[in-house]
Amino acid sequence: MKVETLGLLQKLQKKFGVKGTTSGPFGKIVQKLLALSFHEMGFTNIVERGVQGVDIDITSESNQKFAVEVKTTEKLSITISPDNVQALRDRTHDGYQPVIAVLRLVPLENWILAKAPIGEIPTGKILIDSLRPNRMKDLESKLCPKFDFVVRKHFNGVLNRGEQYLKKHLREVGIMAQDH
Amino acid sequence: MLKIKKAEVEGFRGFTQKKSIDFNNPVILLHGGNHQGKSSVLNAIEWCLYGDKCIGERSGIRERVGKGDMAWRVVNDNSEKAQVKLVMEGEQEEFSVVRTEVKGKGKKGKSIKIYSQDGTEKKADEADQEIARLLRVSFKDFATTVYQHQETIHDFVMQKPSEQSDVMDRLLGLSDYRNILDGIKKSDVLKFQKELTEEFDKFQISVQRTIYIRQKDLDDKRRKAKEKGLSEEELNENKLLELAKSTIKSISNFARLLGLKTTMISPPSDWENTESFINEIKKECSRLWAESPEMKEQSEKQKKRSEMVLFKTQYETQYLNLKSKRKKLRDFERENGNKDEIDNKLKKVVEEIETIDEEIKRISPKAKLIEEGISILESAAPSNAEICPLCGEKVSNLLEHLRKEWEEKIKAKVQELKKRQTELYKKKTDFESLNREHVSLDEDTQREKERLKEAINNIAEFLHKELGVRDDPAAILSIEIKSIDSRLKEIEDAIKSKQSKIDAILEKTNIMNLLYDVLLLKGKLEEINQIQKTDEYQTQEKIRTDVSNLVRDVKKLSKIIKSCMLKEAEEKIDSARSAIDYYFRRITNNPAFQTLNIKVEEDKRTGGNFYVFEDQDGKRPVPVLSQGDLNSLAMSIFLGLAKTSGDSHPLGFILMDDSSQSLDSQQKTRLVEILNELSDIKNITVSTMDTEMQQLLKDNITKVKTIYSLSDWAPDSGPKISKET
Repeated sequence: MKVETLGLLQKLQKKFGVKGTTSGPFGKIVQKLLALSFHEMGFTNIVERGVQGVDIDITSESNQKFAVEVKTTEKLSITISPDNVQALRDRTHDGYQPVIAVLRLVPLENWILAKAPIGEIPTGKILIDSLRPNRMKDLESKLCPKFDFVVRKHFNGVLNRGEQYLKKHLREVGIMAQDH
Repeated sequence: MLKIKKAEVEGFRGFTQKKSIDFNNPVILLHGGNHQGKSSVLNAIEWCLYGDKCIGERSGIRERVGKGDMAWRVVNDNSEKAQVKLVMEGEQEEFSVVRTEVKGKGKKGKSIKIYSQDGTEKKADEADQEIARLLRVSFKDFATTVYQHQETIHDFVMQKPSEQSDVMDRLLGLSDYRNILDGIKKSDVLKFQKELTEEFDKFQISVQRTIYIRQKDLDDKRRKAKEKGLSEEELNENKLLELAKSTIKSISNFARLLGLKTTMISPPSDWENTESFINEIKKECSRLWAESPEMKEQSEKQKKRSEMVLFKTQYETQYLNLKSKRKKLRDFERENGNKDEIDNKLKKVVEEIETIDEEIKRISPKAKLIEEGISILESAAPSNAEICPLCGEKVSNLLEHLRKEWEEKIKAKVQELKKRQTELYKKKTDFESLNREHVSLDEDTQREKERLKEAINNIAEFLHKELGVRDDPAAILSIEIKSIDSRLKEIEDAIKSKQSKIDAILEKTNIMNLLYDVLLLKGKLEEINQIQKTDEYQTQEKIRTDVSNLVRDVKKLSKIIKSCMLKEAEEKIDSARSAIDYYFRRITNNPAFQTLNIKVEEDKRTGGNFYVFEDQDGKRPVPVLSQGDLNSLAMSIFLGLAKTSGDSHPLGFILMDDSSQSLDSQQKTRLVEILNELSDIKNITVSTMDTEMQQLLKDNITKVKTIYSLSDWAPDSGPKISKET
C-alpha cells in the first residue's frame, strides 16, 4: 500500500473510525473499497455484506470462487470469531474457498490474502504473520495497485458522504451490497 | 528368547573389584541394605546392553539427568575404568558383550566388543549394530517391559495426581515424545515470531512518524499553493516548468520596458533544478532593477539630497553656535564694559597704586628716624630732654611725646596707605582677569565666525555658486531640497508603475518554490514506497515468511507427535488392559474394584496424554488410592506390559528394582505369587532391601533360584557378595 493510500485511509479512519476498535463505519468503508478493488481486478458476481455472513464473495474469470473475511487493524494480530469461521464454512457448501483478507494500517504493509482451509482456521487472537504460509501472493500483487487506485479515486466522495457514497457506487458498478 | 547367563562387573558405579554373578536360574534374588550395590548390578546389565542411551535426558530416567558433579557417573570414583561383561544365550547361540569406559577419556575411552561362540569378535560400530540385531528391543521398550526402575514406582506413588500422566508416559515408554514436545515448547518459535514482528513494527512506527512530519509539511505547502490559485491537478512538474518558461518571458518584457538587455536564462531541465533557476531569475531581476534609469536617478538624487541636508544642518548648527558666543560677549561687555573701558579702569588703578607707593616712600624715612629716636631715648637719652626733633617744640617728657606722635600721625597714615594699596592691587587683579576673559570670549566668537564662513564656503562650492553676505545659505538649500523631493516623487511614481511588473515575476518564483517543495515532499514520501522494493525489505519479508512456515510446521509436528503419543499409549494400554486389570486386582485384592479401566485422552491444557483410571462404575479412584494401591497400579502396568509382550519379546528376562515399596504384607505375598507365575515364561531378577519380601520370595517361588546377599560395601573394595542356592 502506498504511503499516499495509507494517508488517505488514516484520514477516513479519523473521521469514521471508532478509536481503539476495528468496528464502526471505517471497517465497512475499507471492506467496500476492497470490494471495488476486486471489481477493478475483473472479479465478477461480487457480493458485499455489511452485516451478516462472510464479508465479500468474489468469482474470478476462471470461475474460482472465494469467500473473503475482511479484517482491518493497526495491531499485529486479528481476532477470528467462531461466527467468522462458521460464515466461511457455510460458503464452502456453495463452492467458495475461504480467504482471510487483512490490512494493517501502518506503513510498509499491503493487503494479505490468505487461504483459510476449513479445519485449519484458528479462532481467537492470531498473529497476522501466522497467515503468511497461506498467502495468495499473485492475487495480492494484483490487488495492491488496484486498491491504491480505488482509494485515491473515491477518497473525496467517501470523506464527504461516508459509507452511503460507496453503497451507491457499488450498486452502480453492479456489486451486490447486502446490508441486512 | 535371550537370557542372561552371567555378569562380571568391575569399576562400575558401586563396584570396584571385579565381581561375577550368575543369572542362569529362573529367579535371581539380590538382597541387602541400602547402598550395597543391588541397583548397580541391574544398572550394569542395562549399561552393558545400551551404553550411553541409558544416560542423560533421553534416557527418560530422572536420576540419570544431570551434568558435572550432578552427573550419573559410570566409572567408580576409586577406579580408572568401568567394565561390564554379560554372557547371554539364545535358543541357538551364546555370546558375550563387553562394554568398557575409561575415566576422563571421553568418547575415545568408550568401547564395546561382542564375542561369538565361534570365536569371532566385533567391536565399535559393528558391535553396536550386532547388539541391536541380537536384542531387537529399543532402550525405550527395555525400560518399560524389561527393567522396572525403582524411581518409576516411587514417582508414581509420590507424584501429584496432575503429574501422574508424565509418569504414565514413562511407564509406557513415551518419554521420547515428551522430550520432543518439551523441546518444542522450550524453543518457543511462536515467541520468536512475535518478537520478530514486534521488532519490524518498531521500524514501522518510526516510519509512520516520518510520514506524519512529511505529510504535514506537504499538506501545508499544498494549502499555500492552493491559496496562490493552483488546483490539485496543477501540483506537478509540468506546471512548474510552464511557470519557468513564462517567467523568462516576463523578465524579457520587463527588460524591454526598462530599455535594457536581458541575460540569457534557460528554463530548468526538470523540477529538481528549480532552486538554481529561481536564484538566476532573482539575480536578473535585481540587476535590471538596479540598472533601470529611474532607479539610477533615484539613487543619485537621494544621495544629493542627503548631502544637502547634511550641509544645511552643519550651517544651521554653526550659525547657532556663533549667535550664542556673540550673546555671551555682549552680556559680558554690558556687565563689565568693553575692552577699552576695562583697559582704562586698569590704567587708573595702576596710576593710583603708583601714587600711594610714592607717598609711602615719602613717609618712610621720617618714620625711620622717629623709630630710631624712640629707640635711643628709650635706651640712653636723659629724661630731661625736652625739645621734640619732629615738631621742634619744647615738650616735657619727650619720649612719651614721641611715642604719641608716632602712634597718632605716622603709623596711622602708613597703615591707611597700605590698606588702600592692598585694595588697589585686588582691583588691578580683577581688571586683569576681566581683560583675559574678554580676550577669550572675543577669540571664541572669532573662531565660530570662521567655522560658519567655512560652512558657507562648502555650501557655495557644493552648489557651484557665489554666496554673498546677504545670502541665506539655509534658505537656498531648503529650496534645492524641495526641488529634489519633487523630482524624487516623480521617480517614485514611475518606479511604482514598474514595481508591479517585477512583483508579478517574483510572485511566479514564489509559486515555483511552493511547487518545488510540494514535489520534493512528494518525492520524499515516494522514497518510503521504495523501501518495499529494497533487498533488505525483501529479505525481512522472506525471513518472516520462513519463520511463519517454521511455526506452522512446528505446530503440525507437535500435533502429529501428540497424536502418535496418544495412539501409542492407547495401543499399549489396549493390548495390556486385561493383564493390568488382572494384576492390579490380584495384588490389591480390593473388593471395591471389580474392574480397573485405563483410558487415555488428550490433555486439553498441554495437548499431551492424560490418563484416566476408572472402576467398574466409571468412578475415578486415583485420588483416594493408598500409596500401596498406587505402587500396585504401577507394578501392574509394568507387569502387564511385560507379560503382554510375552512370547514375542526377544528378551526372556525382567529386572525389578525395589518393587515392594509401600506394599503391605498381603500385597507383597500376592505380588510374589504373580512373579512365580511369570517366572514360567521369563527369568526374573528381583532386587530388594525388604527382608519380608526376600523371605516371601525364598519361601514361595517354586522355581530354581539363586540368592545373592550384598553387604559390607566399602569404597575401595565394593560390596561383598555371597551366594546361596
